[in-house]
Amino acid sequence: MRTIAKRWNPAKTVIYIFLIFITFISLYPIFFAFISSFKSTAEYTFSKTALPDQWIWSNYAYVFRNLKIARYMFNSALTVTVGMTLYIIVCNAAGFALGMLRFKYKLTIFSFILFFQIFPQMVIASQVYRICSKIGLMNSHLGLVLVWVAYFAPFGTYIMSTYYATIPRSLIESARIDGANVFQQLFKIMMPVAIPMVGTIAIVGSLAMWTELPFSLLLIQDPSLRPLSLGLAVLKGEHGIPIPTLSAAILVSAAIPLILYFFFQNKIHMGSTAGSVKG
Amino acid sequence: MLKKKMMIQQEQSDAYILLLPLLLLMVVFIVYPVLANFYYSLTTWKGFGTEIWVGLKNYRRVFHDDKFWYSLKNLGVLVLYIPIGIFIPLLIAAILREGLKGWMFFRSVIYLPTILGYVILGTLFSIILSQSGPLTEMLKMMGVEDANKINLLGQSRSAIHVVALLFVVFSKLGFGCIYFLAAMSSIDSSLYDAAAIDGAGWWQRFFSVTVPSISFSMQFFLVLSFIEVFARMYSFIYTLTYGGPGFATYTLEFGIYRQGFQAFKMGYASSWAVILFVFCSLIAALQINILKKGDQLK
Amino acid sequence: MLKMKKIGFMVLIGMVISCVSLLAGGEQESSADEKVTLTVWDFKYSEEVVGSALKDMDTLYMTANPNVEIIHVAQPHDNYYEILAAAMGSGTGPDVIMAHTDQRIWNMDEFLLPLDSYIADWKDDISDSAWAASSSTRESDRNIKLVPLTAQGLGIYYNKANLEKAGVDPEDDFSDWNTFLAACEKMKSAGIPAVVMGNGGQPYGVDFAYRTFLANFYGPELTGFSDGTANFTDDAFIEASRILKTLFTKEYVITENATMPYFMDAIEIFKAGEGGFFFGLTSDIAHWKDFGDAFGYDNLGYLPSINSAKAKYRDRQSNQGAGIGFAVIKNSENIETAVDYLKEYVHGESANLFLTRTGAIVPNKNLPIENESLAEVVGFMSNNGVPDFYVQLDAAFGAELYNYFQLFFLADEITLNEYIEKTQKAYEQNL
Repeated sequence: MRTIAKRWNPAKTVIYIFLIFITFISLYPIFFAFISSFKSTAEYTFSKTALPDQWIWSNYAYVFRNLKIARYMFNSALTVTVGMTLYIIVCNAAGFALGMLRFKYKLTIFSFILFFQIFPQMVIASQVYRICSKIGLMNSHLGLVLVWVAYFAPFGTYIMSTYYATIPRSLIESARIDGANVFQQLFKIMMPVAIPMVGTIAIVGSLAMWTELPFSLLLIQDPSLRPLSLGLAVLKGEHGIPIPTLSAAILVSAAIPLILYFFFQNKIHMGSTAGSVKG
Repeated sequence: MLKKKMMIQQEQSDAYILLLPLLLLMVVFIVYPVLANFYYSLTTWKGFGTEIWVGLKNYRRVFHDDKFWYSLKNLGVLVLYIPIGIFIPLLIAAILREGLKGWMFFRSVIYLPTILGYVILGTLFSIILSQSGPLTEMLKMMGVEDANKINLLGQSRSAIHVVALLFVVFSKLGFGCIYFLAAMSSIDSSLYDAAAIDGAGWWQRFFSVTVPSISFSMQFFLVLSFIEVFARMYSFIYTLTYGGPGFATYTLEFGIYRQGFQAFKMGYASSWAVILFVFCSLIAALQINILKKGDQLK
Repeated sequence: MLKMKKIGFMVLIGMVISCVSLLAGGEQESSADEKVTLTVWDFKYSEEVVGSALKDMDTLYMTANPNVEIIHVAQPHDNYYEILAAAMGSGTGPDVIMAHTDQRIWNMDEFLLPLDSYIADWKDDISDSAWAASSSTRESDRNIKLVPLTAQGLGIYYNKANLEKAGVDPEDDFSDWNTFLAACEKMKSAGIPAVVMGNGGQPYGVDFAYRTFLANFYGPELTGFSDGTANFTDDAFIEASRILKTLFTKEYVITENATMPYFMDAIEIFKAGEGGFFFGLTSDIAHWKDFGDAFGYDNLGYLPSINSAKAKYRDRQSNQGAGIGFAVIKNSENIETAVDYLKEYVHGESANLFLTRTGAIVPNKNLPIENESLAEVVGFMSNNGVPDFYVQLDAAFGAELYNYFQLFFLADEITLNEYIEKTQKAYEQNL
């Protein structure tokens, strides 16, 4: 630790004030949505910042009545769970290979993955739609899951590969000499060690899948298959939706991610550090 | 010796097997779609049905399209904010390194925007910053005259800057702080001692020790920022300003959506996608360069 | 080794089961012999009033036809046409779809069933202008692809009580431009918002105002905007833009309280009794029923448009012919049922239900009209109708036009000349 005595840094005060400012801006949107969701439209029209005069439940009733929330949440839960399982397998397999194993064309493949990981959904969406419709994956959770994994896995792979690169090779050397095959190396030895990072990409990845919209829109038209993100998009009418109702919908959709965050904060923060440490 | 050779080969084929699922998925759902844009940019296509070959017509049109030039200008403005988006979390992390009361609380809170996601963030801010929203009401209550003349998101000159501040600086702040903090944790403290003994003040130590030590992390974050600006803004723009007012917050990526999916001019949108491809390639090249230097690839 | 194999095997089984159940998730249950399942897609079904009305109309149909099951699906409005395109392009669409009668659906014309032969029996019950709007070639006697549900138009509503409060005689003829402006001025002095417009997010207010003005400037020649015969550089369009801009520069468009509300919020404001004038619709929302119910039919005034000295026509009513309709998909397996279903929608009890519940004008000539305000509006629609400006435009350009509205009217960042130049350029590019 540092041996120099701590001197009060004026910059610290500035930063403190700034952090408080940022805290306010970070918390206010949810607070605003919260109080608005309990107001009637009439009240909201004339009072935006105050607490509700009367706390009404009708906005939430509207959201739950008009959306088959249970069904949509189930769909999201199903697709995200299966998606994450595939995602973790794929990311770990590829990440392990790239991070630890030695083979020809490693640099090329790595660059390839990094390069194609950049492209936005918009650029690939119309073709993805065409492919899915050609091979019969329209309106199916399977198609959606495959597309999700294809789109989100490259980044997860990269994260895992940097992590695996920090693990000493000796861990598998002995196993290899003993004749263990690669799947054993991966599942029995490597993944247990990488559990913390796996947990992190699992959370980050599932958040991404939970809120994903463009692909869901194009691939899922059957309402009984809708994930939650799509279900909420349905609420907006032709000329918009009254803000209190919208606020209720937002809170409903943000509920799960917020709860997950509350309980898994540490894992998530750890994940942000991937790739930050050199070598 | 033979066993060693066999093991090397075994390792190689093992690696390929492990990589197969990812590569297969990528080729089908990413590589082919991205490259298909090259073909479709030379056609007129509605997004479904058959396409009609038109050669370079779409590209000629791009040059005369106001929206395209607005997009480039907006991307330029957004990119200019990136250094701020790097410097602020960097500074905060440097201060936090020395310990700050209540850090755990701050950490939870500033990461919140990332958890909410761009759709919710964009929607809520578009309401809050609207001319008839809570911000105006708050300003009026504080006695600001003409508070309802302020129109942050509805004036071209302010809109893009608000978007830039919110997206490039604010939404990434939490992530940036934690990221840089982790990076700084591996700096050898004796370097600071040495610098202090040489008489360096806080800022000098910051620039001569902290910054160079984590230059790799900073470069990596820089590339991430570029990727976010060029290829991850769609949902945010969609919910916050829908590209407006006028085209003040239009970007290439958003334009592809508006013209391809909303207007069913997919062929034309593909030409924009090809141009975006060029930008993405530059970013990717930069990224690979940095990683090579940083020794990430053995 | 054995344990590894076991686990691997179980994982494999597990995944296979998941995949199968995922795949199976999308299939419809096969229907027993005579039962017909009709799937209908809709972008208004999630709205409180309209949705419940449609639901009851479905119930009416199913009661009368017990072998038919109607599955009415609410789709997101904002991305509706993308979803339609995706579904129809891949052959996984429904039987019946709701659509606006403008370019957005004609883009997908190839998937729609021509209805001419199916509607022959009852065609006369519905007004010609509605059929014309429902035809992909705008002709009332051929290429009909939609059964029109609502007749949509734009007009100007006013709150007589507020006018009186400001010292204006509510029985004045506000269709005269000068009288109108004078009334706005008096209201402004009295602190009452003269014109309530919803332009937040999307400038619907500007759009709707335009449509009423242009009805008088172009009349039947508004169809010229679909093929380049009419241009934004016309004197007529420039003048319409200029007078609309006046409402902003003179600060008649609501500036206090809620400066630039979202359209839905603006409706609430006007309903709450604030404001003098509102550029609204004739069907759907922001219409005679919304406002009449809110502040009293005696209080409600209506004008189809304002007469400007330089306008060629007078008192024209913007009439889309049809606003929303339903189409049948070509490769549907239940065409007979679908057409019958739609027929019932626009006749008799169902149509009446829809009219009285939502206030939407169903274009059935035989429907009883009991409400005076409604009668007034319908009168204008029938007798003074001219095409609607906005539906003539190419869909892509229409969306872009909104961006230009924002720049010129709301953000005030370009001059009238620049505005005309830019819009004309974009217009030509999209023709």
